[in-house]
Amino acid sequence: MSTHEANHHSSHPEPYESLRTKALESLLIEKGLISSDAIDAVIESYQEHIGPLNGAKVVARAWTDPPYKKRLLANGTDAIAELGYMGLEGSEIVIVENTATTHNAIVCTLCSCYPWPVLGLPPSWYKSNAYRSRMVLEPRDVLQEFGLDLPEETEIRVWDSTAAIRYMVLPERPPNSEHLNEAELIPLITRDSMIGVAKATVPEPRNSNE
Amino acid sequence: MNTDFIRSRPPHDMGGVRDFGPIKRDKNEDVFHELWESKVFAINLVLGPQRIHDPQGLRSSIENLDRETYLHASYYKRWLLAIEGALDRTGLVTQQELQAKTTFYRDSPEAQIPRREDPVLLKKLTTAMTTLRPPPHHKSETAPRFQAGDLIKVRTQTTAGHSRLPGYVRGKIGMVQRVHGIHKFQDFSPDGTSLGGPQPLYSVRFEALELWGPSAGTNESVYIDLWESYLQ
Repeated sequence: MSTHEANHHSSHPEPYESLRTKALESLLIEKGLISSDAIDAVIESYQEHIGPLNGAKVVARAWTDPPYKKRLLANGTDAIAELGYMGLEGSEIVIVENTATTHNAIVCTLCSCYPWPVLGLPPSWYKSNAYRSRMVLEPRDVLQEFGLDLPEETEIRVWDSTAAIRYMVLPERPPNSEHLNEAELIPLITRDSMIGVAKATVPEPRNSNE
Repeated sequence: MNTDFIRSRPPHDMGGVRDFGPIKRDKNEDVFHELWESKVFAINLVLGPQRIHDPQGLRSSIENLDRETYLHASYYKRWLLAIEGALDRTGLVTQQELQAKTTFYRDSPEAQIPRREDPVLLKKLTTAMTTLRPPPHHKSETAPRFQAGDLIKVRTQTTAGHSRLPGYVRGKIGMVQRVHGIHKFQDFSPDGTSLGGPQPLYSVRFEALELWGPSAGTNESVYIDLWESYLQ
């Protein structure tokens, strides 16, 4: 260890939560109640594999394949499983579709329920007291804080997923995206657009001189 | 803090409360901010087969935290405290053991966490994370009382234990949008007794005006899934 690192350690004692979690993991391993390989696999899965890219692939398929979209809206769980996305917090997923006149957004006021197989683990703001308390009360104001200005003519539907079903938003396909194929659409589909606090990204117009 | 909120509802039941201010966002945040958060998350999942949170689940262990802790602890701090509490209750890991081990790691910063491999447990976890486990098919003893288009009124009485009925819809009138089928009822009394059998789960739409009165926004509604026992 370099001198710099040693100084760093001595001037910043390890936080309580970190020590406590080390102690917990250590005791559970010693007692044979958990295993290191399973812990590693869980962390890797939710850090690397199970995230909003899954949902983006579902949305891009729905935008480009009308029969798939029909199946997705009729039975979200099964249509999502067609693409291989399944698992915890995904035993029943319902897809709600945004249109020119209706905007959907999801929240869980009682905890932080979220469709893990398609969106991964929720961002901190989704789990925050502020989002959970305000999204049902003043959604238009909250969306404005997120940079999404919706006129009063647009109906806002907020889905409070407190019971057994998990929800995901199917965002509207953005303008200027007609020429893009399924793979090219994926980067436009952000996590926030599938929670319903944003729209899908509008692509740069094609340069007509090229 | 809004005194009505403090008096009338458990802290996790925060839908419609005005006190929490603007929503703070971190543009490019990692899935886990700190290593310990990822460990707490994984420990809870890997502990699944031990059923430490039975019968009500992690959610209820978190809801059992005291009000101040719940409102001010970070998300994974809540998880950590809830897991500690459940392990202590079940006797699998006592608070004394945990304290002693915490002191050990504080005094021995170079000490490593022991490793243990368990292919069977690993397989169980991998399967849970990647395969579809549809909810078991339940039968209700009675046919659904409501159908799409029906107006319903939510009951007003509260449940002392774990409930999935948010306070802000109690006593409110909404319209059934669809019947999700029969689902296991998830409410439990404080001693862990189930408060009902499998029953219809309804998607119900509430107009903002009905929920919040004249100050409500225009052209806004909230959709919530409600079990039949929640309806009058």
